[in-house]
Amino acid sequence: MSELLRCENLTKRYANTTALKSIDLTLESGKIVGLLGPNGSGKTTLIKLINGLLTPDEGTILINGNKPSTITKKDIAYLPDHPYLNSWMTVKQIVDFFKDFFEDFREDLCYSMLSNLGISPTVKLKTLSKGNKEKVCLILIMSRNAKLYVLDEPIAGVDPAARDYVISTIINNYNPDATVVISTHLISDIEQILDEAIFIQNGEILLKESVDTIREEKGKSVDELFREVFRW
Amino acid sequence: MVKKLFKHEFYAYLRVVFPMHIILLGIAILSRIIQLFDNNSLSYDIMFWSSVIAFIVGCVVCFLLTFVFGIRRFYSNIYSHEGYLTLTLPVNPTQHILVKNVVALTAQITSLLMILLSVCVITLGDVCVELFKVVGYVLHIAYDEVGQHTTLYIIEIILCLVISISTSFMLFYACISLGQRAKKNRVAAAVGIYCLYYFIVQVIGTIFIILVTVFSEQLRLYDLLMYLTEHPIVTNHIGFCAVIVVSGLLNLLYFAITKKTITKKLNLE
Repeated sequence: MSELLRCENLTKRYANTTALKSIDLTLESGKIVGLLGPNGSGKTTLIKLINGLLTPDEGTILINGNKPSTITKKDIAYLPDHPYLNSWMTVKQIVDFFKDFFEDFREDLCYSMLSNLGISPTVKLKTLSKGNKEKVCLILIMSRNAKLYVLDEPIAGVDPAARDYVISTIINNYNPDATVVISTHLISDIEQILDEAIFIQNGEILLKESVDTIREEKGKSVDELFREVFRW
Repeated sequence: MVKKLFKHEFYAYLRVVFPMHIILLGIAILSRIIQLFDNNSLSYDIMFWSSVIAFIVGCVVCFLLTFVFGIRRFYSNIYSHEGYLTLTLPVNPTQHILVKNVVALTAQITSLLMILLSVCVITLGDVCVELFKVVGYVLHIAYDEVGQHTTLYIIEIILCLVISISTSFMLFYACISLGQRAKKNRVAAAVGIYCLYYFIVQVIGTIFIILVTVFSEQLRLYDLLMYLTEHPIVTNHIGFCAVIVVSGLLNLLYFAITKKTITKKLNLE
């Protein structure tokens, strides 16, 4: 497995707060990684840095050997933690938008997933329910054949049935050679699909371990270990 | 990628600006049709003046709304929640800014042309012919007086107009971008920066005029004024070129501020 993401001494500050403190992290391709931590731990900051939506104050971040740029944006499929769509567009227009800008976009797969949900391509995004909007966002992202999928809180604020849909959409459609980073604090729902877990707190990486190692060496599930580490 | 950006940007404008142009043209046609039923009655006067007022309001709204839409489109597409998609496209900030500016400029010029076309429609007939005659007469005099310099003037005026509109949009982009550096109330911060900018420009302008007046003798301003008065053609060309150059330089400055914010200081809410 080749190295896909490398962070060295990565630091990000907001005014008086240090959101990330000298993080060193490497991720290999072909894994599903859980970026796990409580609210305000620095998960979204790290994800924004990976996507070039923030600039580090110190350190470097490399995706496939490149700093965040138009080159890395071709390889990353990013799902933000809230809907990002132009609400005036129809479903077909947003699909065409993705098809135009991302060479790895799989249009047929996208329409097939939309059809399974019963969402018509002619419907306007603003008329969709909040849940369906979130599903359309996820479908668009998972229709890409990207090298790195970065999903920020994909199951937060979603009912249990929809969580199952989100998880099955991820595991059924991601490129197996790619890495999927899923940021969440709802561990029990995604634990079964994770290969690796990263615990992050107060901008520092507390743990980066394979899920199997956690279970074998510590004799606990990731969820149990998370509750132990982040106990109030 | 730039072609695709242009395609989607033009489409976003088309769905708002095009219906506005059609409505304006519709009001002009309606007003022209009303004029055909001129019978000196009170009901005719009411209908005629109502349609004329609607047309004037339509022209103002068309011009202003196109401008406001250009600014709003930049803000919402780059700095609101839409920015999470826009800024993760494999497109660099320079391309984003330039495409937004060129399309906003094109839409604004199209709106101006639509207003002119609507004026032609509402005055169709003798009045329109007279208007064209006046324009022809002015051009005829200009060519008689200054010859081929008239062509240069026309080119310079068009360039002034195009660059000034582009710079106006770029100024708003820069203010919005600087406003993004605030922790909260970013739109209010952008408005504050815009007002502050105009205040500073006024202060600098006033200081400049005072200094020029005080040091007019040392600067030999009288000689310069005499020269410019004696050579009006040169004066006009210098004036237009100065506007083009200064506006162009400001455009570059605003562009640099906007690009720096998107590249280095971005922090979407």
